Amino acid sequence: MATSRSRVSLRRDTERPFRRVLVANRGEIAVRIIRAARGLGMETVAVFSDADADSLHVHVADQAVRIGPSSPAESYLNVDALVDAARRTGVEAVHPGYGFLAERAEFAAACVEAGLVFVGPPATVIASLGDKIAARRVAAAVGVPAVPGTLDSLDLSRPDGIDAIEAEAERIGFPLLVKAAAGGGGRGMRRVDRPDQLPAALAAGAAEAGSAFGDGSVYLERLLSPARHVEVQLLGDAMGTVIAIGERDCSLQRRHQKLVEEAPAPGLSPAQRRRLHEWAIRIGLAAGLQNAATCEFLLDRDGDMWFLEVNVRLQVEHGVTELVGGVDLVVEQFLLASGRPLSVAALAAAATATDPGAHAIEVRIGAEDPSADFAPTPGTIRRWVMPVGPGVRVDAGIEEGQAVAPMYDSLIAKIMVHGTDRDEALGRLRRALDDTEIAGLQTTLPFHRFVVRDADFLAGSVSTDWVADRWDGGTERDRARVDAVAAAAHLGPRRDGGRATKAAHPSGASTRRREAVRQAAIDRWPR
Amino acid sequence: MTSIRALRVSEEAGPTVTVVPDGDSLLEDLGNGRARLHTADGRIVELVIHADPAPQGDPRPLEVVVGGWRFVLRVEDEERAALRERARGGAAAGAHAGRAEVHSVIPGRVVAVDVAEGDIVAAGDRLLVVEAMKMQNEIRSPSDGTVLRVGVGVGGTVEIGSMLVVVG
Repeated sequence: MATSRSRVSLRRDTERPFRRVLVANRGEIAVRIIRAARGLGMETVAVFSDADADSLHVHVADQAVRIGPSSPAESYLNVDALVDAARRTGVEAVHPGYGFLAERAEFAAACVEAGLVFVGPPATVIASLGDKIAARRVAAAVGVPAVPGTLDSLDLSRPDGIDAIEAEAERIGFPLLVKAAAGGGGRGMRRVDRPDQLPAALAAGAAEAGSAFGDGSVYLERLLSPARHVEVQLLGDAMGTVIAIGERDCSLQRRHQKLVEEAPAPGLSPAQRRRLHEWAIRIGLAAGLQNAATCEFLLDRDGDMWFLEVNVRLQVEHGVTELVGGVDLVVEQFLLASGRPLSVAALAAAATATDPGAHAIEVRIGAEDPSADFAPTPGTIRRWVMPVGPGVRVDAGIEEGQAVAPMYDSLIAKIMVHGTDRDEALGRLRRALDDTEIAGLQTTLPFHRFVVRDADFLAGSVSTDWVADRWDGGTERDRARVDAVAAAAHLGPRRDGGRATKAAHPSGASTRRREAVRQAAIDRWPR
Repeated sequence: MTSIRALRVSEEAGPTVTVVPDGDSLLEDLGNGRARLHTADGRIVELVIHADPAPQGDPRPLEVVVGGWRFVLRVEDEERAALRERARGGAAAGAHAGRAEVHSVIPGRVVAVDVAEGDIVAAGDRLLVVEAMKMQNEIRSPSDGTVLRVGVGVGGTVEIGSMLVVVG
């Protein structure tokens, strides 16, 4: 299909798919989508809550519409307000981003009902693949092994139900997880190590899922540990073609939230890679996938691979696939949503997906304290210097002087690097993180600076347990404090109101002595 | 070497250390909020120093970022700090009830222990001194109370997190 394309069809690919689009999201992903839309020559409409009136995504769009107060439920989760904003601004299409309403079938359906194109999989596909139990059944039906567990929602209402569930749990084996059918971000999830913990975990998981997703359905799944998290990027067009454009390794997580992602997954054999891509395509085809989605798998210690779930939307970490495959996934989403077939760029990326000849890594810079169990650190950015230079891309949703609001996700920037191979990418990442300067609030930057020098990570053998097993943020911070205190002492007490105290030389040291120290230091540089 | 002054560096919700600057380390001002610390043990550390234009508190805080770790530090002359504490004296007495464990935030060698179990101490009293990287770090009592335990002796070495003294 790719071979028959003429120059005319190539040019048609870059024609703008819509005249005007609305981005129903905020932060870095709204900025990133607006940039793609503007690159396609489309007019852009941003939406904002009261907390975001002065945010970056509002400034980069052609126009912006207030959709409600700061609370997400009244703004970015408010289907009526969003559809109304789309109607009033006369847009043709709505991009949901990730999170918020991206995987809510009712939002996709409401857009279509209002005569708008939803830039994502059809509502029916979101409903079937977005339900994790239903997705597990799809996988089973097409012969893709899912992580051992139940294929039906557990009936917690029947009094004799618990006995049947306990029997199921024994069959699956401990430790296992209670998971929410509608889950995401670890919510509704409970770890169960022994049979006697099961009733409490079921009740807690179902209650949490009910309040978080409005759906308390839960199921059981074996806890594979240690394991690597590997996921396949899928694209599908309205003609029924589904392609895989490579996989990503997202094993570095804490509490089921990804921190570092890379593409391709290090250390996979070509056969493993081909099988993963083929499995993902099978699931996508069976579900009638269109637009973009991601099939997630676990790779266990023995090298066996298991289907985990499907994310029916753009992923946070889509950028590493773009850098490796030379394709803009958001542009593809817009083109596919307008009814076009898969682009030449997408087909080319799919053709080299098992041997891409490039490598990309992303780290998530979040407003979190990695020495305090990654607790959120909302505040105001006082200094914001992001890395630039060869092989570096930064997707950020904030600027110097802006506030990180406590009611939204803590992710503020994604620093991505790419190179011809993993070593080159790693070297560029170390350099990029050394060049990054953020003040005003604590971020996950020091965690990432540690990771890129860690032997396990360099070897490409990090499992999902790495953070719990290896990271000791308190000790790392205490080490840095020694130097911070020494520097502060050199600076001395602050005297004036505004300016930073100028770096002073230590009193008592003669000019000659100072020069000797300085020369000795310079002689050691670079170490 | 007549004018060496001791400085007290404190971190919000963190420990206070007393530093006697020596000539073995050096801070290079690189401009635009950047600095380079040449440490006494031969390392070179890049730092970001941010002074909030509208700082709160006395002494005014300074933000120092090392390797992405953010520290909000207050620096003042030891003598001035002591004066200020004495002035506050009465009001602060008894403000901190309960038991407080003092841990080392640096690895180093204990060069002085000023208290013994059973001693009555006031907040800010010097408990012991840990020398690390040629800096004398005076460890002070976080609260008024009785010394319940002394975990180290003169000449001993401590690691980050070592329990030094318990005041209750």
